[in-house]
Amino acid sequence: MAAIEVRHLYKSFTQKGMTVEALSDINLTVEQGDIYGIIGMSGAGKSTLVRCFNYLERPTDGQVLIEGRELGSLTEKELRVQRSEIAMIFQNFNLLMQKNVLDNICFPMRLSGKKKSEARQRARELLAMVGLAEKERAYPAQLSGGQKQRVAIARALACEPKILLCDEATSALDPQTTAAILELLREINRSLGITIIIITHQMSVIREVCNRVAIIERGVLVENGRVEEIFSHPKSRAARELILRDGPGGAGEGDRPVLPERMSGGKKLRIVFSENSAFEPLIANMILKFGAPVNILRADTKNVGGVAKGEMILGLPEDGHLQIDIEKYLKEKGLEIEEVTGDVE
Amino acid sequence: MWNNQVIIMLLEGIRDTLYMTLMSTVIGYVIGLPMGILLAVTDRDGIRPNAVIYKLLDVTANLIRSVPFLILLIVLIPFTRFVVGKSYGPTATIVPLVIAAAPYIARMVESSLKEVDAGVIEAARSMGASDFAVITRVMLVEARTSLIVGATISLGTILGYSAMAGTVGGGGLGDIAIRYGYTRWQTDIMVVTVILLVILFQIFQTAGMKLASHLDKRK
Repeated sequence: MAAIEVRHLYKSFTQKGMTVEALSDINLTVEQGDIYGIIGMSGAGKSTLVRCFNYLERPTDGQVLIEGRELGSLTEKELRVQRSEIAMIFQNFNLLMQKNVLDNICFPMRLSGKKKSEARQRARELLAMVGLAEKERAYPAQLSGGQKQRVAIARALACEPKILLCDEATSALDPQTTAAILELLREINRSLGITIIIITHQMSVIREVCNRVAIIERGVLVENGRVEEIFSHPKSRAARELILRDGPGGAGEGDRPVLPERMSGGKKLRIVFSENSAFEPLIANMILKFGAPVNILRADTKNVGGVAKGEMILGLPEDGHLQIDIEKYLKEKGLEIEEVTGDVE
Repeated sequence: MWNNQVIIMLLEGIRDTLYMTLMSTVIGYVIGLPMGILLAVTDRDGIRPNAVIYKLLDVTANLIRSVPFLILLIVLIPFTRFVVGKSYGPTATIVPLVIAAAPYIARMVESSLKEVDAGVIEAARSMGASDFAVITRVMLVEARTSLIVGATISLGTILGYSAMAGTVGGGGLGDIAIRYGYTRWQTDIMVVTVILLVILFQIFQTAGMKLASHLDKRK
């Protein structure tokens, strides 16, 4: 059974008599054990969407099913019990500032009525697991951002959730810390089998850990599927834009790829290298073979789910016959190619 | 004039002032704390908005707070007599003090609770916390420092009000200051009572702020 199933979900907000449609007709399925990314620009509605998964936001219309149970049909009390099985971590960590690390982790367990001594014992185990065993007496204000998020993760795991929702959990962290937190999430997914939903605006985060991704743009789900698939063949404009913005290398943001000032006219091809072809000097061979230069407008290599994926945009010579031959040649070599139309940003 | 009688009178004045101030603050909190919580919770961006309850409490608090304390004191004399049996003396003064202090305390509590980070409340709700648990285990705990600062300010204000009650025979240091200093022109006794009031105020203020800072774990 699917961990989360969302059917025809709509959410609108009314502010000062104006109705704003935040989400419209969202359909998606998250399977058990997935690390499912939901990506979009800020204001796209992804945070609202993830809050519909535990009904912190009530959808205006549509259904959310958690392991087949429709949240809308639950009473307030049943819903609270259900929520305790869906943990959540946040961009700003949202720890209790007046309680120490250990009591923060005990908090959800005490809420659900666990004895203090048992809660403490489990909290210590969890702290060891996230690598902060020596910090149990510290207060959140004394911790770094990465440490706070580790405490938040330990707290989230306290009640043995089946699903973990991460709302921009790495957005306030530097690249190294982000990588470490993502590694921890992957480890949790692997060892505890917890389904993880990751909300982010950074494509690098999706690329690092997710196996599936949904792209949200202005409240509409424009594309979803396997991460490698979307990286290789982005269908929507939003997906292409997000992939282009994704800087080379690590999970960092800010180092945007340098784009040529103007992509020259004529035919442009986007080619994607898979694992084998990345080592063969294909472009060089092609140029030698046809005796015609191609313009490399953009080139990048990324680590997608552990596999190196090369991406390149070539500007082809004006000659129509030559273009057909080049396309044919590249296809024969087993490359995925796609014509890029219009302006590539 | 510094005979035993005067010293005993001053000591009794201190005792009565402390009695009125502390009792009124405690009873004021018994009424003001729930009222403040309700104000914070039912406000538009509270955890359970309720326009009717909010408006009702809001108007009540404003109404009482807009009447100057001296006038409230006099207006309430029949009510005080009904509750305590007489309208003068320290115990009687507690009645108007509580009525003046409760809405003041409620506002203090309301503003403290509104400072609590909405993200932390959301996190608690995502763990399945009920509204009651959010109030008792998150809002009141996280706002602890601010609540104590509020209590310190309230205590100081009530101390001032208790002295004002001296004009209608309320007892305590204020009463002595008015009877001797104003009515009998004995400035020296008035000066001494004022100094005693200042010292009391300083003690409350310093102790409250120390406690608040000691309990604050944000730094």
